[in-house]
Amino acid sequence: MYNILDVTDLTISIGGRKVVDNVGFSVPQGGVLALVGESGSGKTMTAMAILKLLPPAAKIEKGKIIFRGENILEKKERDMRGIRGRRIGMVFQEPFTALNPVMRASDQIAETLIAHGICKKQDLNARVNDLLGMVKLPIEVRGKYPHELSGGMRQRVMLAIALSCDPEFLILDEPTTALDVMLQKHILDTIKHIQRERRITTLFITHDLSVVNMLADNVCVMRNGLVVESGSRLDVLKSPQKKYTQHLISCIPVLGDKRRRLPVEI
Amino acid sequence: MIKLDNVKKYFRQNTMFGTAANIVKAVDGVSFSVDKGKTFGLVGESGCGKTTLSKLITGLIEPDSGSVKVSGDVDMVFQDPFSSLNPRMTIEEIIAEPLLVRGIKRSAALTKVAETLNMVKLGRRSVLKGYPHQFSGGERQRIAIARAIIRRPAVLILDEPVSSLDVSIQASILNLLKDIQEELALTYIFISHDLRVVEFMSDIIGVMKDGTLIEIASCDDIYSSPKHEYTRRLISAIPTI
Repeated sequence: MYNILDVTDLTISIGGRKVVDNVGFSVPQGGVLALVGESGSGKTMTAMAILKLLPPAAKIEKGKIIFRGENILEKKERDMRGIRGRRIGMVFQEPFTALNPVMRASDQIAETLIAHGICKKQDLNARVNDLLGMVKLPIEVRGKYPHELSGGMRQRVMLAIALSCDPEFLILDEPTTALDVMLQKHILDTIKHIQRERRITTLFITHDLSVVNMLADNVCVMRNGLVVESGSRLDVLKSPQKKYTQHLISCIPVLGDKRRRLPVEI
Repeated sequence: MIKLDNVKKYFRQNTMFGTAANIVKAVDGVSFSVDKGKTFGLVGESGCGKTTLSKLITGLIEPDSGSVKVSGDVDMVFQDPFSSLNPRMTIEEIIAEPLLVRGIKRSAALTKVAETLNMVKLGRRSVLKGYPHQFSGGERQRIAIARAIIRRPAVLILDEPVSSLDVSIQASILNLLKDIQEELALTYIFISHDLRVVEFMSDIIGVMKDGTLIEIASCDDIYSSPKHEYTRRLISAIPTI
């Protein structure tokens, strides 16, 4: 199958310290790869490198990020503006800080469409309504400001923005971490539905291996900048080979288990 | 240790111009009791009234009707260890503050701080003069716990104490909370939206929805034979490996 994204030997350092170390993975067309790791594992840095949004202190030492046959790392900022938001949609963890507090939801969704010039003015309204429907938000949300929306609704607005330009690739960075389990399930169900229907290739970043099961085809476990283990979802979750992966699974409490303590050190 | 009897707390939600008020029944007739040294787990979605209920138990707000009886002091640990610690104070000052404001001598307070930091496994000396930003999320939550237990309260309210932490850090904080509970014979109210975590920590679980406790049961029962349809939905929303 054709790979939409191929990351090879990616090494990023900050102040001489490697935060991403020889990382490599591929995402086939229409597939979902979960990048799993705890704080400091380098998962978000990897995603930021794909968008060329690394902080100024971060230096790419080596590696390639081939998106649709072209190396992202060789792209100019001008070209990246046509890629971010248009060909690659993004959803970040905190929908409260990611949305503009003084813009109505409909304007925020329309903004992306206008910026990329892919929707005629007279079609904007209809397109915004389509997108709200796609992420299962009622039409009344159009006129609301972010503070008037619940956390789950805000994250759906983020998702509508990410999907607005019909991207080929979606980066979801901890999209449900700030939400309760019920909302998490609803949002992930919506994402899964859209992802399957439109076959959007997706990179799903999370610290929680248990949510990986709800969305991913393949899993890549990272720790301290290194890829510890990767493989199909079933292989990694059901028969993890590496101690660290086993640990990440075993330290999550399971309903009905009688453990008095959780394992902490490995 | 804790006894709530038909507790109600309503809020009036005004529009921007102060007209057409909406009544929000945040806590609507809640009754339960918790024995000394036990953990009552409170689980429910955002907005179900869990946090209002915890404020009622702490005495931060008064109930509109019903009674809240707690024997002994109550302290709290909140979800976000980034915003719950004063960034301009050293760790020593942060943890000692609850004692100092109650007129305890500085030297006695500092001895207690060192002792309490040992209990939360942050005993190294460099911790004392550090500032919150120098610590990881898990360490900050340990600091918040140390501050909460410095007065040796009878009851500790834990409001989503591990929700913003990585899974392995979460595991170590949960273990630590169990150790401290045993050591100090603390009574816990443990609040979370995640039934897995609540079940791990609690003796009895209350499922809250729209301000009422729709189900109160032991851990075993809630998992093996949930009575309420909503509890079953809550269980089925949990991601599993």
